[in-house]
Amino acid sequence: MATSSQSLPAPVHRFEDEALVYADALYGSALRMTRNPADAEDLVQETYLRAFRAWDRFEPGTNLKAWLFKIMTNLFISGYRQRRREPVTVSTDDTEEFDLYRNLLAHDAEVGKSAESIVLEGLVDDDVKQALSNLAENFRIPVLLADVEGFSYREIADMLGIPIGTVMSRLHRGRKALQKALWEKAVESGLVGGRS
Amino acid sequence: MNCREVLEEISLILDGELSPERCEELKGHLERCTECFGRHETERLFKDLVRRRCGCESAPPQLVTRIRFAIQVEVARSE
Repeated sequence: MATSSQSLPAPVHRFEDEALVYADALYGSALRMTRNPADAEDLVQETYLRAFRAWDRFEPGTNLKAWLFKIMTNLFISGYRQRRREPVTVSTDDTEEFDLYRNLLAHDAEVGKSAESIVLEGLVDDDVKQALSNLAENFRIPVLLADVEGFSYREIADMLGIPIGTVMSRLHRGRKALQKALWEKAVESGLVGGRS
Repeated sequence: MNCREVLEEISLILDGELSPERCEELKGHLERCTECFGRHETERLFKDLVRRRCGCESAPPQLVTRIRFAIQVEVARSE
């Protein structure tokens, strides 16, 4: 299979040089969105094809990563989720009163004074990935875009087609739910000695 | 400025959504208030944890190859 060809037109090389840099980030987010490596690969490939077809409409100097993520987020919301099996999602109904600070304070004692939390640092990659993947989609995608990818509220609102206030409230509830799930994981893993 | 106001804006500080002037005001409070400082630190650690644990995926090499190939097919088709 050919990779890059000398005979390809200059815009193709420019697209590949500039856009493929974001393949790792797009794939990582696609994994959290689709929760399945094969679907994540398809979603990323389709994203790049759509982006390539629209490349003449991309304004140089604007945020290419945000442009690619907007294409991928829209593709996922409009199509991929309809084909997926509906997985288990965590309800955020009873998370409002969860207080990570109080819980950590009871366990870590020096929270706020130490550079890291013993409890949080004891969680492995898969714990956090799994907890994020289990969040309901409405909360999972804003948390993913803000906390993993570092997009601004305005960029996320634009990607999802929702008001900034809605982004903020979904981030608040999504983070609370994620904190609760991770705390429960920490208890289950024995990182928290019988207290909660 | 009271603790309630500060707590409502802790996420905004960490998400980079506040003006530098407002950030300075809030940081002044955080330096004086142990509880608000601890809550800010907890949210900071948590946000950092999510980024580090979930932001380290690598696209499979065959995916990048497939994308390049799909683009070439697209170019050939449009010629």
